[in-house]
Amino acid sequence: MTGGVPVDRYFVPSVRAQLIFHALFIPALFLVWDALVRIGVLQAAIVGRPLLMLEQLWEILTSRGTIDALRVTLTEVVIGLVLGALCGVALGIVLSFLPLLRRGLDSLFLALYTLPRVALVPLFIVWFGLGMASKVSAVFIHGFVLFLLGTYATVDSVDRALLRNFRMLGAPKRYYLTEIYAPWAAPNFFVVFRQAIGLAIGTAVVAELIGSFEGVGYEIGLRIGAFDMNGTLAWVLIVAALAVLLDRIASYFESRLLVWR
Amino acid sequence: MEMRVTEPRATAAAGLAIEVKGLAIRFLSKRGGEVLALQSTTFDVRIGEILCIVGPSGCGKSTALNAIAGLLAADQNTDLDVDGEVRIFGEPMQRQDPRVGYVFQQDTLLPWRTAQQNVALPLSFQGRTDRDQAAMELLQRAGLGRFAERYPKELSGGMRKRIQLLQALAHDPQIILMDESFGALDTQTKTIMQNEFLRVWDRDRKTIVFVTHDLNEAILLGDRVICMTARPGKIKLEVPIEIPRPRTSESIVEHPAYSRLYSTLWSAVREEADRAIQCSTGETGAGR
Repeated sequence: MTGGVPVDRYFVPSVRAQLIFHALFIPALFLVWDALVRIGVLQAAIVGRPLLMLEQLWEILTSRGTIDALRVTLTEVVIGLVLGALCGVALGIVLSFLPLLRRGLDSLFLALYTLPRVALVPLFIVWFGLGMASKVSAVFIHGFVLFLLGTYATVDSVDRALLRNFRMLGAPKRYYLTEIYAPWAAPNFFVVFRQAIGLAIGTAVVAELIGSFEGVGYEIGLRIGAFDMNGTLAWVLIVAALAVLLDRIASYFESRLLVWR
Repeated sequence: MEMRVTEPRATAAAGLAIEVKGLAIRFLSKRGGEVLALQSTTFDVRIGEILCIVGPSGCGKSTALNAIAGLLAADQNTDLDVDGEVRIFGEPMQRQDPRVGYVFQQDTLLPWRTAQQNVALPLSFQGRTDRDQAAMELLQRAGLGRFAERYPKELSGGMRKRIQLLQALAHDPQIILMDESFGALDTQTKTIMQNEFLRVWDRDRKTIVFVTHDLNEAILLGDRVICMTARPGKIKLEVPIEIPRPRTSESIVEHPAYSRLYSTLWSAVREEADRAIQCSTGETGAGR
């Protein structure tokens, strides 16, 4: 049955196998963790206890204030990110056509990119208060810089042959934007967007931790202040689930909008 | 049969589609070096003829074609110094002349548009409302009707090149410039494309300037073939191809004139290619 000709077969796990793995791995991790705390290898005051954490999680999910906290943080993330994306893309396009201004502002944007954006939060709190505005500002700066630099990259990498062909076909100016630059940028836009989501949630939560009276970061802050490890971890799980959910939504739109790929 | 094909052309060929007079192009590097890409070159293209330009790599044939197309561009590293003039149908050339089309060697189809939308593109630029039907007709006439809804990534390289040609035909310029348009295709696909191109060309006999490396292609397609020298490029030799039309890639090789034309062109190109290789090795030695 086996011939003399070798064939390389690469192992790709099936979707079912992956699901089974997930279903087993995380509960197993929690059980081992819980057992280690019970035996006394790990201390509950420091690492919490997964089974109690799940209990807390249920309590949090069923309590009324939770929806409000999630709504506040999500609103900050969505408004900040959408405004940041719009401004970043728009300014990126405009500056692409103004090379002198673009080069002049390069170092400023690079500095903004390298800087940990949460370092600006105390400043925003002084300017805009403890409410949502200071958090939206932090997320906005974050999204703005990522989308601006992303726009530069796509404009620079556009296929010159497409531009030359359009010129020879007598394309009016607006078609360059709608038929070449915009669709060319679309795949990269989704890459930047999915990158930005996770970091934007992080920025919003940390900003709330620094100073606020509502939102997910505020809830986490309360529990850390009370040395409630299980409650803190439960909220961390919720934040992670939120990030995965938003990423799935973006990925769904990506596959629906970019059928030509 | 040969007479019937050649006779109407004799009257049409009275006018000139393109006149290139003393065209010289110099590239000036911002770091100080300069390269003469083309030195005082003069040639005409008659209305309705196919003129092929051959020559060694880097001899400036594409530069000459870009000059005719109005696509010469300076960037942050190089500047251009252009002498001489180009006339299109007797008038000085202008940017974005709607009478001039171009088929590039690279893939220029929009990946996010279907075959039909790509063919219809120049028609929407012209504001034509019947663009979708017109594009569909072109596709069907080329036997590609059932691929209308496909995206470029779902088509083979040869198929994409045919769609690219249809796009140029939809644009409907009087002059089509072709820069190694079939250069990226495999030999079999290329042969099929050449025959199909000749059939399509024969319908309305547009003026064609075809830059190529392939001497067989030049003899098959051209009414005349210009051979250029190594850089700095100028015209070394002009050969009329007196093989009667209609031609196919199978029929021309059997024609008695074919091997003579081929060896004339090959010895000219080879001499220049040898010179180009020697010059380029000499150039680097001189630290140019």
